Amino acid sequence: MTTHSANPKPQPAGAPAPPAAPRNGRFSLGVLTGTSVASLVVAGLAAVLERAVPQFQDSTGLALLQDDQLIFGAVPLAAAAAALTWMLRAGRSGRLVEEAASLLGLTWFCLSLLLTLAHTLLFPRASMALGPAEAWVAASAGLLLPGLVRLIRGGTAVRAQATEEDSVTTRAVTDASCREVVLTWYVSAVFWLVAGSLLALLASYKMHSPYFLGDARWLTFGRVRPAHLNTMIYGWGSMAAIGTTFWLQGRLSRIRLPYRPLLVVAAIYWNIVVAVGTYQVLAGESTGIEWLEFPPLPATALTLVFALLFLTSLRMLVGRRSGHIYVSHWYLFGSVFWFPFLYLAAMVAMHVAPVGGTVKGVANWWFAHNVLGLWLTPTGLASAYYLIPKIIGRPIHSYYLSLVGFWSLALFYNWAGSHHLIGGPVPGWVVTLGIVGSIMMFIPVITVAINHHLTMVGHFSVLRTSPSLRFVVFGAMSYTVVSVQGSLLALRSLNQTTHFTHYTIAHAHLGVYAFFTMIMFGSVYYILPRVSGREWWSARLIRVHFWTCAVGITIYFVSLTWGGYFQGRMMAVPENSHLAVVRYTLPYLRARSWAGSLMTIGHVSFAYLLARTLLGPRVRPEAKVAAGRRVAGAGKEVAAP
Amino acid sequence: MNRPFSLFFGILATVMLSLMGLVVLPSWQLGGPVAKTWDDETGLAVSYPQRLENEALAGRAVYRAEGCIYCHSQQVRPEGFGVDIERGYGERRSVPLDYIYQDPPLLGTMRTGPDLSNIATRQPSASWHHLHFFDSRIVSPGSIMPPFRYLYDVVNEEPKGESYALPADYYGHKAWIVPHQEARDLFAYVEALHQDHSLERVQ
Repeated sequence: MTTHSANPKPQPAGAPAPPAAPRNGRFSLGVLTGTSVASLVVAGLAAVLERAVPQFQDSTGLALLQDDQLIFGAVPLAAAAAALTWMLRAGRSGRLVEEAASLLGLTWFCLSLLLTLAHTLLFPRASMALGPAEAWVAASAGLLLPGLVRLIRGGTAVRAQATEEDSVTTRAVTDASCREVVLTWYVSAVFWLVAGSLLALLASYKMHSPYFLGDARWLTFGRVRPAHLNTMIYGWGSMAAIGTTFWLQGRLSRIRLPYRPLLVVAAIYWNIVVAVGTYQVLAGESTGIEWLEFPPLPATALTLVFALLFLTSLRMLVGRRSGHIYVSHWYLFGSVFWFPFLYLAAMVAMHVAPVGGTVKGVANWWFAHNVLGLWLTPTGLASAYYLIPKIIGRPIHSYYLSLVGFWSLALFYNWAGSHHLIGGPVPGWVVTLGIVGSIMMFIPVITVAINHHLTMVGHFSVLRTSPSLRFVVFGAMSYTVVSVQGSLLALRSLNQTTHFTHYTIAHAHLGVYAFFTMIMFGSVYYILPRVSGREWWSARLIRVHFWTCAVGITIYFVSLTWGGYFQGRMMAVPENSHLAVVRYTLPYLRARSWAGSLMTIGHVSFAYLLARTLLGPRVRPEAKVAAGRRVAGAGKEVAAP
Repeated sequence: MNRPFSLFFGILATVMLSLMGLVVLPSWQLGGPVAKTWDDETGLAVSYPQRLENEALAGRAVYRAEGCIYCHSQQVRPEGFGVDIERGYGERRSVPLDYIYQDPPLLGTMRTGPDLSNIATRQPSASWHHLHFFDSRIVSPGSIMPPFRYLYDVVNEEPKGESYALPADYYGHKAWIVPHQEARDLFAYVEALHQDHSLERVQ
């Protein structure tokens, strides 16, 4: 049920949307006014506390709270409410305006509350009302504002172009609109995949053969290893995820991708940022914070790009032509908001707040684990939820299971981060929360596994003919395995043995590679022909890619899990010297290098295949639509052409 | 679920909750970077922890830049949870007070090499460390630590000033290593790695 019910009079195609019913405008006005009043109330409470309670007298924290709530809360929100009132009166608003206004009001209020709380807790002795964090938000808002204005003015125009097209033509149109953007992000992602794989091989080899290139300072293990992690997460992983997100949102919203030139520029910009960050890590300027080794300047630049990505997603969600929001879209919208939020919060915690010590450690692992859980995982799941039913031509088994899966993931995954610090110098309750969150993750994981499995049951034969499905199902099954393993790893008893060993590395790669990367491979194999109009150049190379990577990651996982577990068991006996334990792990580290070589061969084949495909001949557009109709006729959701 | 608004609210609320719970609340509980002071038996004021200075501080930057955290941890786990104390990693477990001046804390997540929280107490010798940095296999046969030969100059005659003798079979003849400033800084940092005082004092 939506509050924006369709206008009862049928609209001629192409006519501009009529002014929305007053009820919608009042809702948003209510949100803006309500949040403005809430800010006033918080400021008022702080004022009362300051005057009435003796120990809060002269508290700079409370004074700052009042200032912040007034400057960043009550006043701008009241101004926005006034502006919306005028727009409603003048009949210049549409559905998009109301949505944007409500979202703006709520976000602004939450952000200002977050900032003031952080301000109060982290800067207890600060004397300035305008701290760096606030300045940051103000600057970002300034950057976002033009986008918001465009969103408000341009949103209805997107829908006005909508006509009574059938689904196949709609898909061809939205696919064609993503072409340049998705290709730029994908080609960049594959570049970083190969670069990151070479760095990985180097790190792996150096671990058991430390003299290899041992006198090159910029290639020492301690620099190559973080370079590998960052190029894979922010280069390959993020860029593949973003490209997939654009295409998926086009399909799910059934509208064309907006801001296309800006998004291509964003891809180039992102490439530069990752290159600069990687160079700085190899040059010895790493921050020393795991998953955040990029120095602040390139790192913050990434957040700015994300503001644009969030805006794009917002516009596509709010301006969608499909009434119902499909499960993949929830995951995508979530991930595209969560990642910049995480990154910004982490940047503030690491580089702005004056607190040192173990609090930064907790913030570090809150961030790093949530990159896995709230950025990579939702994108992987969104792709799986879309591609599995699409390829086999059947709907997902259960809507309600997917609802449970999404919200339990959103609720519980957040808290798992402190399981990286079990046994560490942090308060016990923080660690316990992390363990509880990790165990509760059984709920979304089992839910998703049941949903996917019952969808696939009876259709596993399609795996023989569809390479995309092979990669996606491999990934989806790995998701269940790695998550169950992860939940168990969080238990203190098992963690005692495996913490600090190679077992953790095997687990991490099962997640990022066997789950996320394999699903991304499947997505690229599905999406690229549809946006580029070209068929994959060689089926044999696809098979090479699949088998080298599947076998490679299996060897990787088995060798490091076995080796890491027994490394832990040996370490648990104090009489075993450290060097004896190291000697024990050597054959497993060498097996990992073999596995990695296999996977790199797969990646290079993939890159070569991509190049040959994109440089090959293009199928004529009419033939593409006709072919699409033939394929679509096999599915259930399209009427016979 | 058809309202973007409720979707967004849920998405925002869930991540804000965890930020509050896992980051802001612990920061509130642990408070700011305030050292603990007390009087010892002779009446002298003791302050713990001490800030790193000069060479040790520069050495910490070298530790960060070379990525030592990817193989070495700096946290001693509690008694009964793993055998950290039995292994000699420390006399007591690490507590938040140990890290208040560490920005960021170099806790580490891997023990490819041993934990270093108390390495200064366990291995105080300058020549051991410099030879170890130069090529760890000289003093730890079978080690897989990378060589840091680029932090040293190698000379064939015993120089004046700080130097350490290499084993004769390393280059086939007598040789000495002279540490660069960065190597001296790194050793100064390693010398400062000790988590002192009893558990009751520092908790």
